[in-house]
Amino acid sequence: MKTWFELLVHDLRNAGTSLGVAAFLTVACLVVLHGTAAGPIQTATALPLLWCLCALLFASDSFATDLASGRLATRATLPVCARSLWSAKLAGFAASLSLIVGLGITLEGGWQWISGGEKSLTIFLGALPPPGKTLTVVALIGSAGMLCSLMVESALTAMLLAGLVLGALWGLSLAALETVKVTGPNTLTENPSTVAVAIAGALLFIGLLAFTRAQRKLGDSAVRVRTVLIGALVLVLGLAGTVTATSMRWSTYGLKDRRLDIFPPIASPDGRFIAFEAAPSGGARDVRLPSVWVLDLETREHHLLAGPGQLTRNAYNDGWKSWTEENGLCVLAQDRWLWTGKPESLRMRAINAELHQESIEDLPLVGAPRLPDWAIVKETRTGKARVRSVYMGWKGKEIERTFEGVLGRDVFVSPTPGRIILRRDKSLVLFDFESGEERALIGGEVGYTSLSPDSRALLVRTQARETHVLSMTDGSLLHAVWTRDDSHNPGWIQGDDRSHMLQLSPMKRWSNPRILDLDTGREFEVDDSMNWFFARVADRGYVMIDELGNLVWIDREGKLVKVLIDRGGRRN
Amino acid sequence: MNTNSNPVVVKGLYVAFRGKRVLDNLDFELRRGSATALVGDNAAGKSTLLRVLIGTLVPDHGAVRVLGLDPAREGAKLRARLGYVADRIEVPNWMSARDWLNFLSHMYPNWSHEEEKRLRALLELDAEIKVRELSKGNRAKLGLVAALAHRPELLLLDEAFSGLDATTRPALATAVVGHLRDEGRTILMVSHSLSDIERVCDRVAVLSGGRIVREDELETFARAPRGGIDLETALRRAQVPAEVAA
Repeated sequence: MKTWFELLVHDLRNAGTSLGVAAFLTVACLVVLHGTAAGPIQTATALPLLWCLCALLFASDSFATDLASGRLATRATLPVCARSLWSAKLAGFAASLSLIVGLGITLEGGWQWISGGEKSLTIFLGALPPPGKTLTVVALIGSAGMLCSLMVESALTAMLLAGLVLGALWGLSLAALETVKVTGPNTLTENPSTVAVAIAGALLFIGLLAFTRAQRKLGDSAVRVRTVLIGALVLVLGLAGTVTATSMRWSTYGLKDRRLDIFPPIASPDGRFIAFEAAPSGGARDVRLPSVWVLDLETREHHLLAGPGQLTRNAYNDGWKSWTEENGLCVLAQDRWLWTGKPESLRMRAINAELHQESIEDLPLVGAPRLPDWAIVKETRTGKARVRSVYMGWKGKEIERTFEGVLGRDVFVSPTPGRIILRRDKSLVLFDFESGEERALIGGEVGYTSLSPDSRALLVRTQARETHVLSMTDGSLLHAVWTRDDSHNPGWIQGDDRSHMLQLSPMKRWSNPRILDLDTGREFEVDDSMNWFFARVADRGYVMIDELGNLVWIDREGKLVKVLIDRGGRRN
Repeated sequence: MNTNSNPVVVKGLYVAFRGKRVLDNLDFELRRGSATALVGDNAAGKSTLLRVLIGTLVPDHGAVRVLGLDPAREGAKLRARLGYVADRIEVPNWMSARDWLNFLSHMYPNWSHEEEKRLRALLELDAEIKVRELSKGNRAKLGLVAALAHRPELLLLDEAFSGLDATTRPALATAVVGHLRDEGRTILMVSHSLSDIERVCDRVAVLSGGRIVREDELETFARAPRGGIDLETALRRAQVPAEVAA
């Protein structure tokens, strides 16, 4: 132990120049920061960055200079084993860095204590990154630097090389993360600090191996380089293998896993089945991640329709969210691996309470199940702000129209051939293709518009907070215009292929969602443990995701019938 | 179990660097208490053999026992018991000779400060001078003090006197190494200098073609050249075909 301690002291004295440079940089950095009136938070941000730089400096200088000067060869003749020499170097690195970290904290802490405000010392210490995180980063930088320091005979070259290695590691981790997103949850990505520490440990182990081998084959510098390169290759392959081995495809992970979010379901026209999307938390915006499932309400059996990477979306629909009597449920999916060139779009039909699945190879991927058969729509941007040009054609009639202007979000195509409703500037007009006539539908400025699930009704909210439900056939009012003053926004309940139900979503947090049956005018409030992601399942009631993430079925009175997918959340 | 009591026993030693053969099936033994000169041409593998003996080079094949230990596995333990003077010593710039010797004193369990002091006085080595400022001769002296201060059982000298001037060499060789011989310790010395060999050694081994091609008493060597190998030729050329020695 005494021998090892002497080696450590020896290494610390050897690192005198690097320590001096680092101490100077620390002081200079603080002087510059205080010269520019930086506060404790700025210094608490700058110092850790400087420590990373110092870690790179110390680590890169650990072996390179000794190798170049032949000191390592001289030290190899001492009666100490290579492991002791290596561990003393490592301890020297840690001690050097600790000294610089201590210097930075002492200087800045002292400054804040003496001349700062009442809480500035606390702010400074609180703004420093957590020790665990800092240690992880420093360990990674240090191990990469020490490894590179063994390969070259110049500290500067080792620094540059270590920078490249760290960059490569960063790139690899990005690639791994992107891959893992698609392949499923992975324990590695959930514990990045553990992974970083493991990589640092592996790099240090490779360094130790290279060093001990080189000390036993003194004079053959290729031994070091060869060992490091082979070690690095094994590490990369090992990491890739571990990522692959610990990854699970989302489809095999199961819907009960709470790392998956379930999104609002839609129901089959007979209300027996529902289809819904699941995606990893935070990954819903990544089109590769969601999967589409179908579930039988009566048996609770569910199966996967399209897995991650299979769902295809386009401008007119998001791949699957329409289940109509005529078209069934079209899931625009494709083979997971694009290069096989085999689209596997599916059509689900619920017939006599049984689910029938068929492949629709001829369905173009850029199709739109909600777009009625008679219409062709092509939309282009004009280059002017908010001004769009929409070309519409009527199949079989050779009638074409092009609309240009501020057309709002949508041009609504009626299931009745030849009719469209569109926003022209701030008003809503019904356009008749055959006659070419335009008719204004609502007086006043149009705010929010939403097409019903069956495309037969249009929900319109004006700026005056009036709610209109219009027929898509002739633009007539289907229900009396009403104005609500209880802070509930109306929206269609998806999935039952009808235009009869509205959900009234609360705008205030303490309000509960409500459901309004337009035909009967009946309205009821939903239990406060439910959220507002409803789908109506015909006469059976509604399914929704509750606030605990469970998929539940409630009856038409709002009472719980069944928890369809229990995701482990507690329910009272 | 090794029953051979000789301090160095080498059998079938083979060392190659990047496919190039340096030592080839070398057999060699060093008798206890002897002082053997290892001679041979440049790049014959003399320093390589010494590095194998101190455990900083693990051979590709062969059995090596030094002081009863395997240098490849017990290098650190072995190096504590032997003295090794390399042709070159590199220490950090900030170190004086005293710093270096102090550092070494913590490395060797048998380090004797009295012996170190005696050797420094004998060699007239100024310990306060920075090592980087030492002349080549003084560096050689420092190397000798470092190698001898822990009273090694076996001394390996790799052209240790090559940096010394003509007046210092004889005194150093006689006083320092002679003293060690008087204590019955074993010496293996790589040298190109006939006078150094004559002063220190009683045996000579000639290394050529990766093997020891002749090993004999110094007197026999000088008196009766065998197989066309005499000492002067060996020192001058040392490029003797291995088969001549057979």
